[in-house]
Amino acid sequence: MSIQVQGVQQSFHGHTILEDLNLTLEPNKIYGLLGRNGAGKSTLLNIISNRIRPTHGTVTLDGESMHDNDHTLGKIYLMSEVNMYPERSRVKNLFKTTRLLYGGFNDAYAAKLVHAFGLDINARFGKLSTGYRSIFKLIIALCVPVDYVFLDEPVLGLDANHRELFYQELIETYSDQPRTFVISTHLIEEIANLIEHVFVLNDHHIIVNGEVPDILAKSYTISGPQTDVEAYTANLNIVGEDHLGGITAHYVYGALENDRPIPDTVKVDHLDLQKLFVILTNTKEEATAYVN
Amino acid sequence: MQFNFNSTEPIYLQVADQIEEAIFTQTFVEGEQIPSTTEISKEFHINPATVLKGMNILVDANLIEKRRGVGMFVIAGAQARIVEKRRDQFYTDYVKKLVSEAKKLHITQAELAKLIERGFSAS
Amino acid sequence: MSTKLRVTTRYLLMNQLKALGEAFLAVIAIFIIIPFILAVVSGNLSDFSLPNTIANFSWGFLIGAFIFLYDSLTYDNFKLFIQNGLSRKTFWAAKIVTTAIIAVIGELFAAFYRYAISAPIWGISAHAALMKTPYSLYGNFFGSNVWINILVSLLFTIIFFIATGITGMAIGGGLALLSKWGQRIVIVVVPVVAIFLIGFVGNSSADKQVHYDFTWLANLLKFLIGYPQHEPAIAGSFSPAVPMITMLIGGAIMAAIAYGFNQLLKVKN
Repeated sequence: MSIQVQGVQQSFHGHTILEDLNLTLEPNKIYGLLGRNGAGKSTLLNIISNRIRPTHGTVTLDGESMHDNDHTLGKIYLMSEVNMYPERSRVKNLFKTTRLLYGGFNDAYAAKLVHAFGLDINARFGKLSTGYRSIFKLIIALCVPVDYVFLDEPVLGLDANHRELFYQELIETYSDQPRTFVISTHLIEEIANLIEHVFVLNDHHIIVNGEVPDILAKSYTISGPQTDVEAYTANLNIVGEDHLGGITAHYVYGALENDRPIPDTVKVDHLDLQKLFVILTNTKEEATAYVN
Repeated sequence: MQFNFNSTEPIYLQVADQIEEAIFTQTFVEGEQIPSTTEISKEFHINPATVLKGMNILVDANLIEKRRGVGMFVIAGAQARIVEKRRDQFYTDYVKKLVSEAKKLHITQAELAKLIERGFSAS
Repeated sequence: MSTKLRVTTRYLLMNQLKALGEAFLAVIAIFIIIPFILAVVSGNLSDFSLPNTIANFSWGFLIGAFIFLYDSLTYDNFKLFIQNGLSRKTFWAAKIVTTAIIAVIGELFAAFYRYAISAPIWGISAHAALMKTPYSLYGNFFGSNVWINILVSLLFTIIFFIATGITGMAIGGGLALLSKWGQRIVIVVVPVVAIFLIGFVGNSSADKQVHYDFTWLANLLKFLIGYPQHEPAIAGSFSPAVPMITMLIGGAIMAAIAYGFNQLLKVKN
């Protein structure tokens, strides 16, 4: 029981977008898919949902191919930024179409969400604002009878109140009826405690793939006077550094040396997910821009 | 209840700490139900599994118990157990730190004792 | 028929019937109401004959054009279906089933209109009405029993509509793979080249000086439309069998091409 992405590679016109990518999505978990603009998050989601075909590699659900297969495709839903619905159709008719094509739809929950978000179901999809397009697609995503829901930028254009409401409803429906959610977003802080497992996509590869507490447990800030910090972090996996006045901070991703004494002048803290993400995905230019 | 998300402590431990604190201050009264996993999860955008992990620490510590189909309840005597535990930890959590800071500030033992007396009389 | 194919077909069918209804209303508006208003405005009401206008509708052309155009629309439906967890294969199959159903419904409607409405208004027999259609080339093939000839004409036209629709699917499927720019270029360039080629063939056949020999092409075309091999070629006695088989084979080839293009469909940007 899982979605397996195996050896997926994608290139467009000689440009590599994804390279030898492998990952597993297990049932009933909430995942975060993080990556900078252009890192290939949407491409990966489009490959999983068979909207595009990878140059190499396979995607399977419970061992069955995802390619051109109603049975597996009908068990997933991808909410994406690209608008897939006919512009002239009315919201209420699109709900009906979804019910017909997916073979089910939680009408009662949809009605509740429509009311809570203030969505006009008589409006035509093309006339909705960016925020309400997101809300419309979110409502469908939460009401279709699938095992895997992929949310690509789910809160695009949503104000703070609607974002709050969305996260609450996400947890509510997840608690009532557990299924897998994969959330791809730039608003890392908002989902940092919501996701159990995180993937970070950078430079065509997955550079982080693990349970969030485990990842954060091995992410450290070591700060203090430069010489002491450098002495302590020698040979450790230093992924970034900052300097402020006489204080140096080294960011370490990986295990510390347990038998190495921590000098009194040096402070060891953990990083939060957003900070870790920024450090791991900074370009060289961005990283040096901090160092003054 | 509130969570300090800048804290470097894992979230499930923070959940356990916050519920324990609420029992200690009698916000959650013995014998009564505490908020459900989903309620806490929804309020603070924390994964339900994480909240449950935090609650299980308190179940193991005999502070709360699960009643099937109803929810989590504060066990009788939980507050007393928390007080006992905190007394045990008082030396490491507060006294050691206090003395260490006092030393850095060149406060003598006698001066510190006086300050403590002053603290008691002020409150 | 799998559940997914059934629901996809139902969706396409409902949408197409609705669009076909709208097209019918548009045609009625354009060919009855506007001429009528013009006649009233210009004071030539006596020139306007409602029964004649009604009788002269030839729905077959509208249905053929509609099936072709609707089947060529590909990308928007593909997006909606892949969003709803339906495979390319199912989309393709549902389109073919829908085309067949619309072809049958459309032709039955057109035939009913021709023989039950137009013919009485014109005051002509069913046979005469049949001979006013493009099928007149084959209209007497089955002898004097007009109803058998009409029945075969229905089958013939239905096959023609289906083959036309599937050709539309293949063309639309190919266009859907191109960028907007590519689509524009193809839509402009292909007709120009086709006209040029037709002109070229026509000229070289007429001009015996040039030694391109296109008689084989002429013979092939004659064969394909069912031109009699031995008997004198009298319109009405051509054989509908060869063109029907040709359309079936052509339709199958187009269906295969459409399937190939359909497999290559992907969501853009």
